[in-house]
Amino acid sequence: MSQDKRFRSKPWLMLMSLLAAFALVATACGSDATDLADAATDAAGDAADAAGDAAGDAAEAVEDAVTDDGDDDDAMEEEAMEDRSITVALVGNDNITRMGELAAEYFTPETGIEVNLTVLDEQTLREVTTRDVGAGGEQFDVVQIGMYETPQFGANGWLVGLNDLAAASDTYDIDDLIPAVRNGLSVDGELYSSPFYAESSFVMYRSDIIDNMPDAPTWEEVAAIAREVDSDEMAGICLRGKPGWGDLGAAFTTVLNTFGGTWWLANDDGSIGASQVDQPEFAEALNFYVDLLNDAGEDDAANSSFNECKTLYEEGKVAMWYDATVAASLFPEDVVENTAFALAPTKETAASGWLWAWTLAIPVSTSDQDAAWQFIDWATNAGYHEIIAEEDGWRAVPPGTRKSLYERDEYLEAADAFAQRTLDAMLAAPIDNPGTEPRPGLPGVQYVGVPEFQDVGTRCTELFSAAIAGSTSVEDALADCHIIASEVSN
Amino acid sequence: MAMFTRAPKAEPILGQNRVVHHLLSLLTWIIGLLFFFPLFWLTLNGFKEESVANGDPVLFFDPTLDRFSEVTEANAGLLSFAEAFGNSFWIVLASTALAMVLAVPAAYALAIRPMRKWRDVLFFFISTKFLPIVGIIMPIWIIARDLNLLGTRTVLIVLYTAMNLPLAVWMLRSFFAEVPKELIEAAQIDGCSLMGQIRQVILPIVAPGLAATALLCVIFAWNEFFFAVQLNPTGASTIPVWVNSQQKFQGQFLAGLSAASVLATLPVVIAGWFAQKRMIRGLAMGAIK
Repeated sequence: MSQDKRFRSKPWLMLMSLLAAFALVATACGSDATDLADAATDAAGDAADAAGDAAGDAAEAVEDAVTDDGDDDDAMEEEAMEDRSITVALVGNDNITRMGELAAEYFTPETGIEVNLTVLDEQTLREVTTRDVGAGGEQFDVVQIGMYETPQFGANGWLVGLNDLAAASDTYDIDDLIPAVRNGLSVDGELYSSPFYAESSFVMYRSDIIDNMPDAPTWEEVAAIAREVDSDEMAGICLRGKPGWGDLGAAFTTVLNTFGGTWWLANDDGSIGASQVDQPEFAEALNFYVDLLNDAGEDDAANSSFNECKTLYEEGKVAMWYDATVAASLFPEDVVENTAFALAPTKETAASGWLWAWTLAIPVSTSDQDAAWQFIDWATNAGYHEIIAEEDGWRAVPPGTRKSLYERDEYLEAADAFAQRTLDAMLAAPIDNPGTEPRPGLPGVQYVGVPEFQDVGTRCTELFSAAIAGSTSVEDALADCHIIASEVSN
Repeated sequence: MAMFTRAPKAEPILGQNRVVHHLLSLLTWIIGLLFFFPLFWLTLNGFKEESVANGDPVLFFDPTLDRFSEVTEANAGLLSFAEAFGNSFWIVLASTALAMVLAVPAAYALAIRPMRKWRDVLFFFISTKFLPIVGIIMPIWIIARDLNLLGTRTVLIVLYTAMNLPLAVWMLRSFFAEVPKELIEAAQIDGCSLMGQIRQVILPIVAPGLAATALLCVIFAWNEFFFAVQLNPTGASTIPVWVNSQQKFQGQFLAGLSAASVLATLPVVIAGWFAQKRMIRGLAMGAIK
């Protein structure tokens, strides 16, 4: 029977052959040929591993016996160094992927520590790392967490304090961290995670279209300019409208803060007090936000967040954008040339810009704290800035974490358009006192530093986003959100 | 003179009328295209530049394979396409094989030699699917943690086997029930052993059903994301987790994500295409009749 006939009469044979071939080709394309064999070995379970270890140990013993030159300790130390590896959980981003590449190029050869990166989307990473860190899953030696989680995890005793490790390091320099960022990542003075990059928020606008934007505008001024320049071809402003406490929730809460509103009052012990969603300041802030988007906002605002607004701004479809300072470092050169920057708009407060950092932290469950710290030290110290600058140029350096970056002439020259504005925004961010009322929990600007905010913020922003889309009224959204927020009040 | 009367014209059933027939065909095409359109758009996006994919929708553009090469490029330390594919391949293969090995005898017993209260047993199998997975993930996670199975392929092989087993038993039972009793009795009279009956009489008849069941197990295991991301998000993870890792929280990723999704769906589409005849035959003779 010919090969063709055999396959025709047995399509399963052909299918399995194809799948096997696909697997082999894919494996061969992406990595070395031993991966498939490794996969098969792993699939067979721990027995194979144990057998492999035993065989490896035996081989090493023989090798030691043959090559023994009386320097056993050095050999063992070297061997231990070679075997070290850490697993790092990260959020998907070009900066982060680049760090992984550079770790393999610089960090691993220098220290002998192999770095395995697990990249997930933001929401999934939060779920996975929160459980792993909180319940001792021991899957990760280093986790990327935000400024919202760091103080909460640190206060819960889930993270390794970094002050002593930083003090013992010749390369880290904890005092070089921008103070607001350091405060936001500390509990009682103990730093619990090291910032990889940090951001505040500011207004980015087309300098060739808008010439009357103050350096420190009010929201009324921004809204007036947005309505003035709004046209069929170009929206006046892009604001986040996508549901999520870190999306619409972040942008709106900075507006809420400066309008004199807050999500909850704080009890004397710092716990969550009465919901303030039914207060006039809250309604005024939300009405302002929704009206501005309706009058001069981007199309499909209810589905827009950072990525969507960035695209619209770069394509010239919006004249102004209020969002994270890090956006400026991601713009193409021609966009930066036509862009000017203003501080986050205010109303009742002196400053209103948010403060956020993506950071690296060590769960207490790590099996190799020393290796984890060596990696964090390498990825977040000023030396890493030098590596990135050498490889990709100074504009690509992760911004907002260290004062020394803003003292480098090379950086100031390369990021001339936005470096000083970013630093001003970072320094002005009102981390300890973001509004007009004391608020519950740990410090935070665009969020409330309590675990409950994650759920309440997400559910309420779904309602607010529906109000932006016009499928519900602001009044109904506020009434429903007040019920949700009241559920967690003490 | 003989009287001839024309037989009363039969009432045309729906679809026999030409107009209705054409309308039904048109409706079928529209529904088919609606279902197909997201996959078509996903595939198109995979061949676009990021700026084109993220801009206003366009049908005509300069196609590029760059997104496919970008997402399949192996970056040091990151779960690569090749690793994820290899992991998925072995996990799916092992879990499907295990599920079939366990399901065939169970289905045989329930269909050919039913014991007392076999309906309760059958209901018990399917009742394990009633509980929402999210409701049991924490106990499973703790057990996996205590057995040092987090981050291993083993945990997914075990769970996917358990996940597919009820479905496989139910489907296979209905296929076995289709086998004529007379054939089995004839084989018994001829002195055929139990294994001989299964191998020579029953399995050839239910082969299309076995294939359909195995393919469904493969598809469910290949596409499974929740267990994979909760219990095995690290280096030994699967294709759905790799697709998830293509998302970026800052920066454009739609075209890259589309390319990754196309690569992830390709094996299932190929498998379905090759097996469609057998699968339709299997499904028609069995459970979904």
